[in-house]
Amino acid sequence: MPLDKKYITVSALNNYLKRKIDVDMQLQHVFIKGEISNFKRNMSSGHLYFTLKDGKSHISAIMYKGFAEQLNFDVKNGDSVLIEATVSVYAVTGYNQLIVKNIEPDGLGSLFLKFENLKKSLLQEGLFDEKYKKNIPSYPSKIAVLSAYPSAALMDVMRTLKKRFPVCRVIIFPIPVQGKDAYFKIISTLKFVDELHFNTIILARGGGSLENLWNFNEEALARTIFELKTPIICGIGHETDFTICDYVCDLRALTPTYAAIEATPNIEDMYKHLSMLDGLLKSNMKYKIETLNTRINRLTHFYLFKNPEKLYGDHLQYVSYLQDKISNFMEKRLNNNMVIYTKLNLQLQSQNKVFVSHYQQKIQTYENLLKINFHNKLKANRNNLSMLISKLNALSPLQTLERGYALVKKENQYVSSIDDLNNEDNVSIYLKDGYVKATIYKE
Amino acid sequence: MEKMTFEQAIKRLEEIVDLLENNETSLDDSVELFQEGVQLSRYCSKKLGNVENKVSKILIDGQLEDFDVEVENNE
Repeated sequence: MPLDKKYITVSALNNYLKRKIDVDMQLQHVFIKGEISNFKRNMSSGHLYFTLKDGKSHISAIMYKGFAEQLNFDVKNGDSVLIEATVSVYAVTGYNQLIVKNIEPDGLGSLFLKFENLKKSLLQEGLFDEKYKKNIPSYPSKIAVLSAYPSAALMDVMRTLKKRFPVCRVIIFPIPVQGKDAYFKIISTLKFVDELHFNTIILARGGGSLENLWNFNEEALARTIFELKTPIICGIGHETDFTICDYVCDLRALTPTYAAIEATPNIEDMYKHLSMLDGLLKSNMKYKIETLNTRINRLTHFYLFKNPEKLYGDHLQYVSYLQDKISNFMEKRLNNNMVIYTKLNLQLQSQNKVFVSHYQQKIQTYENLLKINFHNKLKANRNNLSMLISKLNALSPLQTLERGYALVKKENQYVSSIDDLNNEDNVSIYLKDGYVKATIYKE
Repeated sequence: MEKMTFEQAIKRLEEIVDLLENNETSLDDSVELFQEGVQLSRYCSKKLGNVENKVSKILIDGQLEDFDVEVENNE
């Protein structure tokens, strides 16, 4: 072993290499593209390990947990990727390795990722919610078409509109549909058209690659479409092409032609529908009238209407029966009363005669009696009177005076005793031929 | 009715057809509905008939120009 040769350890060498590389500024920040292989994730640490390769060479790579967590796509073997990394040497093995800071899908992959991310965030924000979707008018009178002019897509839309619903007024607003920043013009045109009170807006573009269609994946355009007051139908690309506009618009049509179909009714169908309604209108009315006519006929032929006398025939008979009954009854009653009356009348007449003659006789009797009594009484009174006159004559004082007797009157009173006379009383003394005055002288 | 959109007119016509089909509608009401229906039907077909004068336009440099569309019936 020559003494002038200085031997170092493997680890010293590896550490030396590691230091050399770590201080190289070029290697601190490298951009590499390649394909992923041997991909694995350490479940406990969260670090990612894989090999990046191209057709000829490969290099191992590690992505620490902190960076790995910020990845927004799923890394898998076979992915073509763009990597941002630091080159280092793993001292234990002496292998070069990449300390990866970011991984992005290469080329289309990266656009697709961007698309997916925007779609995800707008979805979460609710821009695709059904509740925001406006109804597309069934019978539009004014449609705005936004498309490239001239373009096959525009012609598809216009031909379809004209064929299906020529009564509708259509105005085309040409827009650029590809190239950088074309979406700015699309946004301003949409905002302008939104103020013009169209029933529907059709946004149409023919098929193209993801890059060609990219303007329709711009967030600003998506937000403009979301804010529109006018219902909008998107017909962008082919059936398999999906853009953010397709998700955010009110109705996604598979192609421009379908967009025109969705926007309009078919006038032929409408004619058919209208004539069907017209026919139904008339046949329903006709049926209604026929039904009513049948009912009227049935009612008109109702037997009572035909023979109205049946309505009162029975009653008539009953009334005449009652009339007969009542007149029979009355006649009978009258006859009975007549008999009673006659009988009573006769009775009354005979009784009256008896009564009158009885009282006439009585009156006659009393009259005779009265006459006889009156005569008797008169005769008696006459006899009595003559007797009284002779009695009176016998008793009269004048007869006494004739025989020489006198009457003495004192103060107009006859005096019958001397006791009634006092000395010097003035008296009158009546004699048969007059009177004289005298004064008493008592001894 | 002049203010009705085609859509409203068709909807009302459909409603009337249903009402007439219904036996509970009185004759007087039916006659009125029928008259309205006939008017609506005429109105709708008139609206559909107004085809010729609808020419599409295109906005070019701020000016509206006619835009002719050929429709070939080769389906």
